[in-house]
Amino acid sequence: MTRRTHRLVTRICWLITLSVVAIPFAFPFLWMIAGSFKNAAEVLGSTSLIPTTIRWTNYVEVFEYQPFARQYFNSLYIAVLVSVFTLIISSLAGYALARMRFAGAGLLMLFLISALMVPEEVTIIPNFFLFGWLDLMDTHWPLVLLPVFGSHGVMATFLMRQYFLAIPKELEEAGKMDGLSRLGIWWKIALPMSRPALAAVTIITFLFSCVNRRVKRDQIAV
Amino acid sequence: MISPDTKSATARKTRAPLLTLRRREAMEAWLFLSPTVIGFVVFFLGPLIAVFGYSLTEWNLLTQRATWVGLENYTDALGNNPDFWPVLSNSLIFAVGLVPMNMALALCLALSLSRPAFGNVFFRVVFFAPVVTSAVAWAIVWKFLLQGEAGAVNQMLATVGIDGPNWLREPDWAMFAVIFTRVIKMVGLNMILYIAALQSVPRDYEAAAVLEGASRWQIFKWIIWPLLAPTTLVIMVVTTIGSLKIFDHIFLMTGGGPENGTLVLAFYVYQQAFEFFDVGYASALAVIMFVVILALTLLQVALRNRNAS
Repeated sequence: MTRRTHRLVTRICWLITLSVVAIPFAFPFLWMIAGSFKNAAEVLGSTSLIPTTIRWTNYVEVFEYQPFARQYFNSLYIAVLVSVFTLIISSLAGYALARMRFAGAGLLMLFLISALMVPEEVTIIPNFFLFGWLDLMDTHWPLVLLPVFGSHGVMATFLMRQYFLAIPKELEEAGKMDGLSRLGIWWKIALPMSRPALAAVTIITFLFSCVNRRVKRDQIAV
Repeated sequence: MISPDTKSATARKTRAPLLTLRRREAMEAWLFLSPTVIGFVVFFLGPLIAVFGYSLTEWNLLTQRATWVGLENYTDALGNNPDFWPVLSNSLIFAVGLVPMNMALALCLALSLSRPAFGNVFFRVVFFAPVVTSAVAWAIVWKFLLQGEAGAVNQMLATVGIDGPNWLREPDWAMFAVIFTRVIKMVGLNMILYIAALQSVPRDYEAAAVLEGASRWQIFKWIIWPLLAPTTLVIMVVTTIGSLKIFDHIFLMTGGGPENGTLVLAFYVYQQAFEFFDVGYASALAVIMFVVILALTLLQVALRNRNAS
């Protein structure tokens, strides 16, 4: 066997191994897709990935049994709001933490990190009263504000900070020479330089906002 | 007697530091940080302090009457309540089972998928996809798949002659099942972090090691693993915190059962507050939980610092 075919064979064996490992990752997905075409009895009764009959009406019924279009729209527009707010606020804070010197920076970081250590369920009761007091109950504001300032916001701040640290300082110094204010440097130099980080933060925030819409909220509104 | 001239001179002297570049910079920094800090104080720190306040009272959510009881809720949890220690140990078992499994799998996947090669991008997507799946959908699908006789998993096992247990109905297997399905869901995130770290390892190091005749294992052990250390610490801390905070996954898959075999801290807190409406006790549990997580996090960082020096 030549070296080349040897490599090809090991590669193919490797891909087969990976495919086997991938089964538990992919199976629930495929099962969900298959299930979306099955009728109720078949969803519960069979584990086959190929539906016996293709039932397109499931996709129509989703919109008939519940205000699904409205729910879908709500999820999307809340995710957009959360992402926009998170981007602005976390990049401002991340920039200050990365580039500006001030007393208490280390301590502030430590405090922010502690927000990652508390489950949202813990602060939900006081937050529930807080939003009642702010008269924001039964509005979308809690759904926007809590993620923006919760653990995802903190994560976004750190991502931005790490990225800003890696931008060459000289560019900002040049901006200063040209008479830009701090805010100008942030907006005109730091932000355009950190597009990859901004993209990452947007993707992560948007996805988690869409996906992690808490089931608990309905149960908590006792 | 001070002449008017010297007076104004001293005044200028004391006022001058207010306008130094340093102060100006600090002030601007706090302006930049103000939305984050205000949000942090209003939506996190304030509520956390409130929770600590609640924990010192006996407060029923239904009657809306709170009475001061001091540390009674804490002594109840740590001493008198037979539920607490099993719940804490469940949480720790969950974390101890999940973290190593997650990190080992993440590292293996990252090592095999970090290089550009045919199919690698496809598999990265496959392994990452569960991370962005809804936790609700994921748990519900797995619940179906793990059913006793009819479940897909047991049917598959039956074809190779293994008689699978009733996964979610037997305490030990249920714990294993929730850990496993959680690892599968979240391992993609750590895999991506490891891939990013691996891709920043300079190729020259490896090439030099190969010239020196190092085996693959030696290259990993002496070059790659040490370079991954910062990433490993971050992944370990974040994964541990996440696993101790676990709630929705267990809530949806087992509801804490069977026989409280998967009842973990966050879920126990939730139960006390929203099923038994005992906010005071739930708050005390939440504070204890925060302290446990904080202690474990600091321990990990301290151990890492000691190893590094």
